[in-house]
Amino acid sequence: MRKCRKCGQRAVVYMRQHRLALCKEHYIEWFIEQTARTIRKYRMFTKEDRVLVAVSGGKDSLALWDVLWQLGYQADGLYIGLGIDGGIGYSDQSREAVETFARERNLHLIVEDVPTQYGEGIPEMARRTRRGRGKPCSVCGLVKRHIMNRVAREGGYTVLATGHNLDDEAAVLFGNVMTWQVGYLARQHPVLPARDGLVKKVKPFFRFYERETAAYALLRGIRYVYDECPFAQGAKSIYYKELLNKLEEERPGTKLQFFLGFLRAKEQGAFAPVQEEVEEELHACEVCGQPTTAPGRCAFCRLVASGVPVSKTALIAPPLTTPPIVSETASERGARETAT
Amino acid sequence: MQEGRTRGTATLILRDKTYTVPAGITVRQAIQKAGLVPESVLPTRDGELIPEDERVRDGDVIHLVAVISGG
Repeated sequence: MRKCRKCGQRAVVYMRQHRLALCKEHYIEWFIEQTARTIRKYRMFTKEDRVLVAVSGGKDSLALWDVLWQLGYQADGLYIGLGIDGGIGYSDQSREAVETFARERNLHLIVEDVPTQYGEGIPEMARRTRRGRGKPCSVCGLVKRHIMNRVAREGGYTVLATGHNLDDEAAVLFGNVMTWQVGYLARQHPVLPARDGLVKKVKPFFRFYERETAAYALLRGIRYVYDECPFAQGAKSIYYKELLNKLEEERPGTKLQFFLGFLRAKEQGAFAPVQEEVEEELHACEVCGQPTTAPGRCAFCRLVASGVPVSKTALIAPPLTTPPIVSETASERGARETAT
Repeated sequence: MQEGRTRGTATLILRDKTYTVPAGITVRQAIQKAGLVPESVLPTRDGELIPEDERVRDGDVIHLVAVISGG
């Protein structure tokens, strides 16, 4: 029987990559301390910042909001209703989980409902656009990134935090390495600074294994949506996570080394933007004011305007406060185009 | 894989699938015996997280919580 390293009581969580066993009480304490340390080490934000936490109703985002709340940060939540049913009322379940969580802790929650604001949900948007053909995940990502940035700007939030964990980051990295998406490798980082109308983005859980965030949610009694998004079935990212977990079984610490090694390599100059790539300026979208690579309407406004009226909320988004001309490589441009 | 003296079987449940495993082995061994990856699940009994080095008992029902999400 393994014993808690801190108190000697029976351990409930054992992290093989750290050779660390902890009881319930000390696991929760360790998890919160590690999050605080990551936030400080990577200069993600301070107590003076206003943080907007993107909450989906899943274990990671609710756990993140819970930890930030306990650490005393000014953290409000943003839930985006995507209009996904999938036979299980997926979006309804998610919204209920998030609203219950916020109510129980007396936290401020902002709700944006895509079908209400734009006349249709993600599945319908995906069906009528080339971007969404096959799978709606690309459309979903575009819509979420646009709304998150808009709400953060409108609300005066200085930081946007998401619950991505190490397995998420390692799976993305694995996929990008498998296809040598050099532009994406250059851009992947747990901290993306604010620039040109884009709010700073951070991932305070990026050093935690997915198993650890799930353990925290369970031990804290957080009621999260257990069902997967109906469209996530068969997703490549899940396949990559399963592959990486098999490696982790054989060699504990593999996932952590893979991602932290990548970050170290970046610090040493690997994956720097290629010199020959053409620099391009960013423009403010003529409809919503958010940054976009091409003059005119951004990808989001083109998406919602093709047959669906843009909501008033989107139209009153403030314009860029900084000059729209910036230096950007072609690889960054590719990543940014998907961001708007 | 060494098995303890306890006879009988235990049940592992992951989403809508059930797996029967021999009692007496550790939870971690039971998960592996079911053909699953321990790194991808968390074992619980009556809603409480249980340690992987605990031995499964005859008649045990252990719910495995899938930890992988995303899309």
